[in-house]
Amino acid sequence: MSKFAKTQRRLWFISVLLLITLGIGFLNLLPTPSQAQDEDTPPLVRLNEDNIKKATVFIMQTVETSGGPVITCVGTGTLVSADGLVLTNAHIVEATDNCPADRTVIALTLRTNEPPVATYIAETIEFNRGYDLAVLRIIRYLDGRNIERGTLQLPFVELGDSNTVTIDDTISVFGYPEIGNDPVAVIRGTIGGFTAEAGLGERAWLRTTAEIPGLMSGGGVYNRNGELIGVPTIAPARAAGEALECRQVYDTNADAQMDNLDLCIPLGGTISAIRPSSLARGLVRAAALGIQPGSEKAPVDLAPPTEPATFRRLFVSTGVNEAGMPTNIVTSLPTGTNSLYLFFDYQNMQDGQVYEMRATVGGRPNVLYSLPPVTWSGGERGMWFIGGTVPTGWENGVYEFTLFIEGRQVDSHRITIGGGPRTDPQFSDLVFGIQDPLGNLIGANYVIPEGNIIRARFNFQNMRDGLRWQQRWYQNRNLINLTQPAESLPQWVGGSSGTSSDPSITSETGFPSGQYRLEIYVQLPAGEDWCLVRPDIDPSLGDWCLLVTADFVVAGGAGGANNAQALIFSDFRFARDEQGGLPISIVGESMPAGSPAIYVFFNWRQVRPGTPFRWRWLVDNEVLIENRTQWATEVNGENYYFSLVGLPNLPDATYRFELYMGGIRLTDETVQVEVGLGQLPVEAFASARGVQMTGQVYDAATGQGIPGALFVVLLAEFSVEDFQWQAVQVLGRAVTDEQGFFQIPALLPRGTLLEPALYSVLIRAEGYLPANSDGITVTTETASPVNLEVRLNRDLSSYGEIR
Amino acid sequence: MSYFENPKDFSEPQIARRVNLNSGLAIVALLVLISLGMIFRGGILTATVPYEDEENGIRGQIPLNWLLDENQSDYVFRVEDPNARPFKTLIQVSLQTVGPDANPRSVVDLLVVQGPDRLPGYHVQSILQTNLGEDEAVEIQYSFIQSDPNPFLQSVPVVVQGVDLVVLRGNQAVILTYRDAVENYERNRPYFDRFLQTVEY
Repeated sequence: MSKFAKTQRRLWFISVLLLITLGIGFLNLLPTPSQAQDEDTPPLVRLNEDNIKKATVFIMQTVETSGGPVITCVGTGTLVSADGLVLTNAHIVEATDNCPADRTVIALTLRTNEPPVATYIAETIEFNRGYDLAVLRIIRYLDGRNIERGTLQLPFVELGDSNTVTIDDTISVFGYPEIGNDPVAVIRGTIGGFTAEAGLGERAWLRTTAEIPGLMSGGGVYNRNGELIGVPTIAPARAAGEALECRQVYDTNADAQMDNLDLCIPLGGTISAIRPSSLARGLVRAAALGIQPGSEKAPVDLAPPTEPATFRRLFVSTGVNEAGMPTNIVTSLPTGTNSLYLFFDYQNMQDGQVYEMRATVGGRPNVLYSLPPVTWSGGERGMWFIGGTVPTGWENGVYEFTLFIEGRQVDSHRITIGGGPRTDPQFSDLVFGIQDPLGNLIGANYVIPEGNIIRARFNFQNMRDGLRWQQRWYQNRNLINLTQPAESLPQWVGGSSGTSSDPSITSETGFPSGQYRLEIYVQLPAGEDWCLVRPDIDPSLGDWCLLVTADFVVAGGAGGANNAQALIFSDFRFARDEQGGLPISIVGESMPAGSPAIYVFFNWRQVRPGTPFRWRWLVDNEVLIENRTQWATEVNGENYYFSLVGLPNLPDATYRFELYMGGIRLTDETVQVEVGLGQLPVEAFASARGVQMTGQVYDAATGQGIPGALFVVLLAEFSVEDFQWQAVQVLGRAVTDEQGFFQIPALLPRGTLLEPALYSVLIRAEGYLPANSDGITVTTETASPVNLEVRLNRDLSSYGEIR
Repeated sequence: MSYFENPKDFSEPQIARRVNLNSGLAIVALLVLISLGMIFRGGILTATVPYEDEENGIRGQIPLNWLLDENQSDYVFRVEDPNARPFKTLIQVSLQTVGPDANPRSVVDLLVVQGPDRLPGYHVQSILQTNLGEDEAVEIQYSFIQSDPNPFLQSVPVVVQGVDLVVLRGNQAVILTYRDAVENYERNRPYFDRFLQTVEY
């Protein structure tokens, strides 16, 4: 190469370098998934593990002692909104004798590979002991400074639809497995089945065979899309009031000694039950909207039972009807049985107690058919069930179900599945009604108006004429029909199969309101032993078998079609306040915007104290607040009320109130009131709808994070070219930390797939060339957070002093 | 005619000299351009734009390409230097309604009382009587700790130095504020001084 050529090449090189130096620099914005993934092997679970870990919090209940605050109970929770709503188990945040508490501390997962750091104070704003779910709101820093609502921008997860979960779905469980020592743990598993429980339907619990430590109770269970589908739940098992498993960690009485006088932090056993997110959705929405149940005229306030709690009269049914009653009673089941429910009576129970069912098949413990220790919510007495449906059929074998209360075994029941179709007599589908003038049953359900005759109807098959049978009617658990000698009881003449409306009971004075029960028995023929349920029958009367039973309620007066309906609640009115139990400022169908509370008043007739019922508030047709309770005031009266309060005001929406008894809805769609515009504002749940933007700004030459850089995200309607350095054009901005990391303190609203939201960003840092970018796309499909990596080039022309 | 059309008209040393000369000129031109660019850039960095809020009666020259925020209830406007590190240099004007017996010092007393509630680690360094143009003013120098509220970020708190200059106009106090990281305070103070020279209220 000639000297000329060399010189020319050198000069070209220098010129190019200078031009590059003069150039305006370049920006590299690389949207990256938050979780590094191996490209060769697809990940087992497609979820943003890093974000979920950061949304998982450690919850500590503390109590002030003479030696300062000490930790009394711990558990896991999950951030479900950017502004600090935490979903967890109710038992984790409830102060009890075993778990005294005056403060709930939230520890955050600041580094995913490190233990959590106590950061905030939270308060419980939604609480449902029956679901064992609660929602907390972060309100203060640890040093006591208040946090203005809506100012936090924390990582959070969105609730998924637990109703779409199917058996064998892959799940990931996130939570803290140990007290303070370990980082967030992730346990993979699959859905193994579903467990039904009284009052909560077929999917009261999702079940898994994954072995989940008890301290992860209250954490999160996620599907493949990273959506929260449930809360792993177990209540620490106790015996005689003491936790069976616990850790003595702190000198809770500040006497400088660790002994049994110090509180022991309770642990659970192994979790196999997951509370589905469908039960959490209403609580989370109510918390996001700032809606809470308000005062009630006469909330049930039962004194703790003095007698020990018991479970008795265990039997198995293959179905549950809409009133939560067994459709039948089975003594054995054929191969291929899909559904099985263990029913039992309970007495002297107290909400919050821990109960458990352990199942064995052929003598071997079976986790999926068992129910681990969970909190009780059924009230003092009634009929309860646990069970479920297995699509492929329950496996053949001898099942033994054993029930425990607070770690104490109380009763058990055994049944065999296997063999051919049943040939023993079967009764099913028992319903109740009143009698018309022709003697026919009308108005079949489980809520009967007061009257003189109650009639029942049931289906039967495999019956044999000549078998003796008897009906036993109970009012408030007291037998009210006369016991007859066995030989005077009727013999069956109805044939093998069909429907019978024979059972009935008459009272000259009429049946007062209250809880009733009918049991129908058949006498076992000599030499046969197919019956497993023979309770409460005097053995001298022979060997009797319970074939069908159901509870029902007598309440209200007769009305409606054929006078067959029970008219219990009437004259519904909405008011803005109450004083002395009377409505103040009664409103019609609407209330002005900004109302702090709604009161619904109504009158009632013939409702006996202790009668179970259910009430719920719907907001824009979605159930937000629901409770099962018992009637706790006079039999007849006026102006019973429930209320709903807003924090600080109720949002514009349509609020409907519903009452249920015996599975029957006793209110109609007119019991509703519009507040303001009558529908929730579009942005009502914005805190859970947007996308978070996080990332790192670093030096392109050194790879080191740039602290103090400004990262600006413009509102979607502005591009970089439009930007005039006006804050009104800015959606959010953040300054990078010591490592160059940033998080925009506002959520980026999503666009749609057809019309994606396009965002522009600007990055500025002293000593570096500015960087801009348009066209960052956010749609309904965009995973949150959007993570950006920004490389900035040094501004070689920059100089330090500006005058 | 170029070398390529008739190479024999030029000897090789001549060509090399000419090329070197041309290239040298090109480099000189580039260096001149760079210098001009830096001077121009310096002009841009210290350039100002007019700001006017007719409703509140505030007018002045504010730095060009600083982020302007005028949509908050507690100040008329605020501008921040987006490039500054570790604290975004800030100039702000706010108004406070006062009674007929108020004087700038009484407003300063209120600011000092409210300071700890608004700014963590608030510490007053000095309070001086001064003038803004022909108006009597009181200047309060203070410092506070600025920390990122996001617990997920590893931010070291920044010690910020600030000055509030209080003047009265009728039943309002005009509070002119400048804040910067303590290490950049003196360096960037000229931005605030230039604003004070142009501000009308």
